[in-house]
Amino acid sequence: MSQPSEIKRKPVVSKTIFYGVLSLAMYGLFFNYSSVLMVYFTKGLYYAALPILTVFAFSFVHAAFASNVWSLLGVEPSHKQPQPRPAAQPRPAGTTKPQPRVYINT
Amino acid sequence: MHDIGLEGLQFIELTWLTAAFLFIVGFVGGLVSGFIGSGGAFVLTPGMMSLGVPATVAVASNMCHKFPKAMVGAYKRWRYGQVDLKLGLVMAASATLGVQFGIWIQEWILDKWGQAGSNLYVSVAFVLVLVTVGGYVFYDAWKIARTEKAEEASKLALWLQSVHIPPMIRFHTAGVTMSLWLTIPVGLATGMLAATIAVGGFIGVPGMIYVVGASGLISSATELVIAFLMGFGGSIKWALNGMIDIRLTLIILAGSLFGVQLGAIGTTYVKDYLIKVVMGVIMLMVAVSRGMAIPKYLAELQLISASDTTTGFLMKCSFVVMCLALMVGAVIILGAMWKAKREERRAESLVQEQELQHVEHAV
Repeated sequence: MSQPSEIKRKPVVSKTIFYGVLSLAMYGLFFNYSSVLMVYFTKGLYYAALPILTVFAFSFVHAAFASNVWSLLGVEPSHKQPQPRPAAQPRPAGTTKPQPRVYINT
Repeated sequence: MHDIGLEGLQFIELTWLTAAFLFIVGFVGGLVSGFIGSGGAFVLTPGMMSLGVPATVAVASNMCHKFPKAMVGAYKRWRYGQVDLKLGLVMAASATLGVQFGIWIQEWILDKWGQAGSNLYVSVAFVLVLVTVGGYVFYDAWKIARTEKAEEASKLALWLQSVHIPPMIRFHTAGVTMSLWLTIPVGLATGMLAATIAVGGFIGVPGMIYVVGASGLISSATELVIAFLMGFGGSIKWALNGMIDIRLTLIILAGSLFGVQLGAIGTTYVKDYLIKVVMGVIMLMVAVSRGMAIPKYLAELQLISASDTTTGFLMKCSFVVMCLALMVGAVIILGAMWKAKREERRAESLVQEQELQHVEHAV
């Protein structure tokens, strides 16, 4: 029977492999055709969207891969240290929650 | 991979060595950024230039990697409850104005004293700001470490918080209520420094700590929001001119996305004052590095006489010290993380042992 830690580890392993392969494929494709792509990426004006969108796309995939790699290596945020959270603010005096009202059309 | 010449702009030939250098500097820079909210950029731009990348392309490519890195770092630290989004947005808005003012000053100096004058202004600003602010940040961290007291808001911040000039804004995560008008100077100074030395965080984070009154943890996390918004705007501007070498950006990003997340995780392990220690050490070392570059610009302006060999040697030393600053920051972060993790494991095993003893007693 699998141990609880192994059960928790399985999705992390599969996610790491998925994002890792995807990230590697994206980098491989880009650098394989980099000389052609660079011509369009440095044209400016409307083509300015290309580098911006590309870094966004790479960030999402590669950041997910990096996050899963750290989890897999056991580098996770500490649970011991309490983190500051937004404190609930008291409602200003004189304001009340809107109450539901019933109206009967006569 | 080939050389690409596009309308006069030369994009460098990429080798495995160049890619490895950019990946490693990206990782270390990301680690420091994820931890203190800024850093890495000050090494990457001169680093790329030393590889033969033209200055404008180096700045543009660096900025284009900075905003997604800051976005990922900000998201991670927001999940740990460390980001004050409202404070970040207010600061970013005023920093945008500060950038414009900083550019205007730079252009005026360039017009009046030429490139050497502009370089001298940047180096002197670097040294003055970093020695003053970095020195104070380091002194404050040392004071907290020595007395082992909890981090407190500065007297200046407490006084500014008591000044009521509408509109007053409540920054929930930072736990601060302050007049909008009093936060603007901090944002303006951040933007101005970003336009001058390309690292706005060196004034933004200490500004949020000592002027606004937020903790080091919240300030460094919120700085990532400012870096994302400013970097995004700046990257669009560079992309419109076709200056971004996306190949360099993507290689740096590959390393920095690992680093920034590790740095963000690191903040959950260490004591709050360590952020100030790392920031202070890096700022002081970078000040020394920029100080070494000053004789070259003074010689170019014919204010002193120095041989090319001497100034060349000093410039090389300056770059080495800059790289060292980043490395020292990374070593402090990783060392503190490792130590904290070891203590946490030891405490966990102690609790487990005690629980086992309780069970044995009960049986």
